[in-house]
Formats: sequence, C-alpha cells, structure tokens
Amino acid sequence: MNANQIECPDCGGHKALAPQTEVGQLLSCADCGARLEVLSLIPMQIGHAPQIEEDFGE
Amino acid sequence: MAKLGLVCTMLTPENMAIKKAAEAAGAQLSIIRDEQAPFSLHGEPSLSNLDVILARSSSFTRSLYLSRLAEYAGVPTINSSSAQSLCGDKALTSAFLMQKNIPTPKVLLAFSPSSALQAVEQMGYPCVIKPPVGSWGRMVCKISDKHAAEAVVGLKDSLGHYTDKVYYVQEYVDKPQRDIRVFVVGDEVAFSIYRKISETSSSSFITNLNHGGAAEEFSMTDEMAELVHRTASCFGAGIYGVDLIEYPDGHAAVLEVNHAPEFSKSAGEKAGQVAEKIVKFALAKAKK
Repeated sequence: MNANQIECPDCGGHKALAPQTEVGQLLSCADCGARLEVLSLIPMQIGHAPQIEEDFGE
Repeated sequence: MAKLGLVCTMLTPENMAIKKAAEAAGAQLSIIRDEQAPFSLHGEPSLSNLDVILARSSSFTRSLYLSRLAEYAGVPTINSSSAQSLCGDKALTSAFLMQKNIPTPKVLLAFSPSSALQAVEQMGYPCVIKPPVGSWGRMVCKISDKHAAEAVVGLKDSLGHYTDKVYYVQEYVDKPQRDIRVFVVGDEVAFSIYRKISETSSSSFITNLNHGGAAEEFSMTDEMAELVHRTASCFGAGIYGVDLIEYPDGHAAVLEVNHAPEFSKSAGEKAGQVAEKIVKFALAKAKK
C-alpha cells in the first residue's frame, strides 16, 4: 500500500487520498460507503467519522 | 489580521469551504474541534484569544455551551448563543416567531402521552409530530389518523431522552411537494432554493436534502424576501437557513430557522461564494 493510501477499517478497501487532504476531513469508502475521518497524515491514520447524535443537525 | 475561530465537530464540506475562504481572506484561522479537548470555564484560551468565532458544530448542545463560553470571554460569536438557543429548539422557534407576528404554522406543545393525543385531536388530521431538537428531518412524522398518533406517541414515550417527552404537534400544510430554503448572511440572501421531493427521496412528505430531496434554484417573490429579512432580523444579525412553506393559496410561512445551515448540497457551484460571504461577515464582526 502506498503512503498516501488508506485502508477502510470496515471492509478493508483501499483508497488513494488526494494530495490536499487534511486532518479531520471526512471521506466515504468507495467500496462500502463507511463514513471515515482522516485522523493523521504522518503517519497516515484513518478512523470512523463521529457517530451522528440526536442533537446533530444544522 | 483578525483571529477567526471555526468551532466544529467535523470538517464537513461546509467547514472545509469556510477554511479555504478564511485562508484566502488572510484571516488567522483556528479550527477548534469540539470533542478533541476539554474546555476550561475559567477563561478558555482557545476561545478567549480569538477575535470572532463561527459556531459550526454539528452538535447543538456543544455549540451552545462553547458559544456561551466565548461570549463570556468577550468574543463575538456567530451565531449568537441566544439566536442558537431559539433556532435549535423548534418549540422555542415557533413561540418566538408567533410572538414576533411572523406567519408560521400552528403548534401545540404537550408534555405527556395523554395530553399529546389531546393535542393531535385538537389540531386535527393530518398533523405533524416533530422532535423539538433535531434536524435533517429525523423522526418527523405525519399523523394521518388516531392509530398513527397512538403509535408515534407511544414510541416517543418509550424512548429515553428527555426531549422525547416533549410533544411538538404542528399543523400539517398541504405544500406543493416542496419547501423553500433561503440562506441569509447578514442582510444578504446568499441563495434561495426549492427543496423538492424527488424520485430518490426516502420520504413522500419530507423535503430535506438528506432524505434525497432535490435542490432547484429559484427567485423569491418580494413578499417572501420581505418575510425572510424580517425573520432574520428578529433573530439578530447572523447566518441563517430560513425555511419557508407554501400554503395551497400561495402564501408563505416560516417553518423553521437553522442556526448553522449547511450549504454544500444546496448551494451547488455557489458553495465557495457562500463560504466567502460567511467569512467576510464574520471578519466584519471581529473585535477591533
């Protein structure tokens, strides 16, 4: 796996990150649709995005 | 240059656009993630060192607490905590709109299952039960008959959160398969759209884009524009998503007012311009 690639923690699918990706940015796994968040760029770490809570909204 | 704080839960597409606009405007931007660190009630430096804050948390609760802390530290917050507290609770929004003589659908409020069923009978069928706090059309229920009322009220009564025990019963408006979202920044309308129930909508009644509704740009009538400006000014200069609903006779009423409105889906290609307007508005409110 390349340095700019991530592995989905749910399905294991691989995805290449765009060069301008930032910590905290939200992503969707192209394979399973999981909502992911970039936790760190160096080293590259990816996790689940925060769960939607009752008072979330706009 | 002013120190601008962006308080958020996640770097949503809207917050990414605001970040980009703030950097382009030359602002000193601090991104404050609401769940990543504790906040001191004795002068939280991550807030008090700023000149202005954009409160864009996904969480209403967190946004309200952090905005109040910032305001106590003398930092202007957009939107103000008082506006957020009104907008974030549909019951308070409706009561405030009615008090300001702004047309809005009728609402009854009840605090027990039996009084909720009375409220539904009094409102008549169909009517709508909504959670007072919440967004994206979640748990918004059209109540067509007594059986549906008993089911929804019974379900809410069995849930654990205290806001589930608040029964917000709203008049059903037979709208033309759409409602209207108007995005207001200060005195300016950034954009206005129809939110239409589409073939991909997951609801035959809820227009929210998160339910698959389709956004379509449209120009407001003068009457609607006046209503939107009057509404926004009542809540205080800020950034609002004002939702209008059209009655069968064509007149519009204010359905709700959103205090941290999303815009990445609704503004489409204009999202970057909307973010620029937001940043410009915030910097104009910064401490001198």
